[in-house]
Amino acid sequence: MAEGSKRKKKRAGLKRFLPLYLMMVPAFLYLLINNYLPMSGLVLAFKKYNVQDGIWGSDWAGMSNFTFLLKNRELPILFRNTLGYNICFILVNLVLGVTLAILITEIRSQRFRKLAQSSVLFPFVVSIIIVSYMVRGFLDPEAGLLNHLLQSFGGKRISWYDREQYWPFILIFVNTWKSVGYGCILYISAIMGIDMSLYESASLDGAGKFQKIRYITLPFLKPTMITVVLLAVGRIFNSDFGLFYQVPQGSGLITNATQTIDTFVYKALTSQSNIGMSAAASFFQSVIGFTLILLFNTVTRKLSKENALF
Amino acid sequence: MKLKKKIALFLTAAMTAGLLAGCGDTGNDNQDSQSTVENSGESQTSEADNASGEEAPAGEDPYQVRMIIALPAASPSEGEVDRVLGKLNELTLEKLNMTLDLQILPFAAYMEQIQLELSSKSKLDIFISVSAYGPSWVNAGYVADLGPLLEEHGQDVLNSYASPEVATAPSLNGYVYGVPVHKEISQQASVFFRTDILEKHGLDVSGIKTIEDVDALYEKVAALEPGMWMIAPDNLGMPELTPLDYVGGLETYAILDPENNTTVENFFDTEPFKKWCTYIHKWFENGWVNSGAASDTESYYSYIKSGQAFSFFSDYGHPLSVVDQQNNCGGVELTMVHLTEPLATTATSAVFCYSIGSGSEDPVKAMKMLNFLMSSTEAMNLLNWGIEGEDYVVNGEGLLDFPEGKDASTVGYHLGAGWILPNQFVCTPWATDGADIYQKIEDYNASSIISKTMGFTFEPSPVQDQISAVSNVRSKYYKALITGAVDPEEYIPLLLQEMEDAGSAEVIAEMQRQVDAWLAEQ
Repeated sequence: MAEGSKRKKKRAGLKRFLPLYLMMVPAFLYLLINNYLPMSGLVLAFKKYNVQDGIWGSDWAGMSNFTFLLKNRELPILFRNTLGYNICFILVNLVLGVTLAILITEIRSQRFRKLAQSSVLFPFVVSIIIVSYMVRGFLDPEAGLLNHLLQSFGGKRISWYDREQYWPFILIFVNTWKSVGYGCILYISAIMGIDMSLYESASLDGAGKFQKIRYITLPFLKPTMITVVLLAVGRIFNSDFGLFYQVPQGSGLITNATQTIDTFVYKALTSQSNIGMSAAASFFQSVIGFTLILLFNTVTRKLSKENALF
Repeated sequence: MKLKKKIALFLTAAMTAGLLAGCGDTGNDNQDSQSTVENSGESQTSEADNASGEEAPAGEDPYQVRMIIALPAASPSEGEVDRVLGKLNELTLEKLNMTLDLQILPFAAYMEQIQLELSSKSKLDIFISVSAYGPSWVNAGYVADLGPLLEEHGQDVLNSYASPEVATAPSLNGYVYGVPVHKEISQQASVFFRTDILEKHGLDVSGIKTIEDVDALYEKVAALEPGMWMIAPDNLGMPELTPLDYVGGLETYAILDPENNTTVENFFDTEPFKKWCTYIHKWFENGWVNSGAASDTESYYSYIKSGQAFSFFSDYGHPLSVVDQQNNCGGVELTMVHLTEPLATTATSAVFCYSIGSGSEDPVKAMKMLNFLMSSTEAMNLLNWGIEGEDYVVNGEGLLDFPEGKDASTVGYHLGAGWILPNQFVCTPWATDGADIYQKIEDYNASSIISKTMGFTFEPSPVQDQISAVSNVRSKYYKALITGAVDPEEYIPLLLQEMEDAGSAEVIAEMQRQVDAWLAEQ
């Protein structure tokens, strides 16, 4: 009897949610076709791919596709750069993104606030190729703005594209300029969603501006921050190819400061047409990224259960 | 409430249905376009396969050959290409019962596009391949083996070369992946000076034979033209100031004096490399070089065009190269001086080849088409110069020229790029090039020194890991060294040490082993 009513309930539920399920179908199909089916291509990482034999007919290659990456002596530098830059990017974008979001929501004038919002987001939509030429405009050794300034103050020209030590700063700066706006918009919308009456009652209790930020805004932003960071952590072994490849303009001497796993793989394999080796590299990145997401999520779950993704 | 729900359900259903219909539509579209291709090409693949061995019977539907080539600069618009193809297809239909579908891509996009086509095994019959990629394309199964096809259906192709060995030089272990484009087979280090500067100061360059002489001239011109860069360096490669053969095409390992010698060396550990780096670094320190050249993405020709630079080095010294380079520099008049004798190696003799893709539905027909293109003056004139009376006229001496009042930019179709077309030597010469231009190029080829390892192709797969590691090290230092940005005394040892660590010795040993084995077979 109980069993039957449960089933009835289930069926009623199914009926009630049918429209929602139907709405899910297109997105589900998209995900299946676009994200899940291509995963079978990961098998290429273990194949000696030959077009004439096709993906499944090609010979197995064991782990040999991985050796060019894993046995390479540059591997420690690649790891250091890829991880190091991504950690810096995540931290800087988090701190600056939240700060900017709070500052922008504090702006009284509606019109100026809208302007500030859009101008923070604008660099995010600029193509990285254009960004790389803007950077060149500042750093070009012959015609760049910075060298002109240096010379007019009596300094010596610096050939920026040959000096490794400046590049960690340049890359972090460019990345922040370009992508801080994206997180910022998310934080702004989260702040907008906070119930204003909380602030009013805090004011009545005599809380100052900073106390309100500390005890109301930040706790409400926490879930958004965790989601943003979690998504970024999942891609911590992937680097922004445009940033690391286009902005240094292929200058060789700064490679130690600018090369990441992606640019290394690109440079090492463009002339070889070896799909197996490229697949191996991205397989490696995906596996590590997936492990890191699991790890970070476990840590989050330990610290505050309701904020974990799964 | 209930009504609302029903509306929601209805809307969702409608949206989903719309989506599915959308999918269906695109599906149909694909089928449609496919069937049009088939109709205009061959009606049934299976039927064509059966018939492919025999001569094409007249009743059969014409086969459409899909061909992709690349051009460095702007190409004619699609409409203009179609106009010329229309004329060409009248010819091919009559002679071969085939049609040609030609696509012209800019160089910048070509390598990426063609590798996408090849790795997806799309129907691609004839295309231009770059020899440096050949061996890895053979290993990846991208290209058909032309050997047997040439024997059976490509006699005219074979006959158009000095010998069958030259025709089949682009091969890996007997697997012929292409036939070279008909052009000069050798390279020759040369300097191109701006003629206006030379005339302005009454300088004579006929005595210049070596880089020392060039240096002395720079010294003079720099004093006369303060602020001008003496040289616009190419950051992709340095001139080959002594005879050398870059084995394997990686521009990292070389055989010096390849006419007499067969020892593979690390090129960066040799005297010619150091000499160039030392000179260009000296010029760099003098302020005679664009100090941003190492990371420049602008073409070095643009500095000649803008008047900022006085000269540049190049490895092309054949009879047409002054005209070619003047075109590259936007028409600035240049004076060419040779620094070495012309030398032919595997890499220089077949920079570009014509290949047949492994996705071709009928390689035999593709070869027949290639055979026709390589031997037909009419077809080659159409591809290179356009349609007679519309794009060119024949002048009194039987040479071709632009119609009255037109030039390269106003005429509809004018490739003028014989060096990338199948066989420019059967074209009717252009008036300004001279009646004997193709003879001149052939004489130039005949006068070249031939490397002992001409015809050898390196098979990279045994040392692929080391090659990718070394190429990474090379890309770190190469541009900075060859544009003079850094002191060779300090940086060449660093480069050599890192190459050694990356396994360059193993690559050289493997190359030497293959070279020796190949030589023993000859």
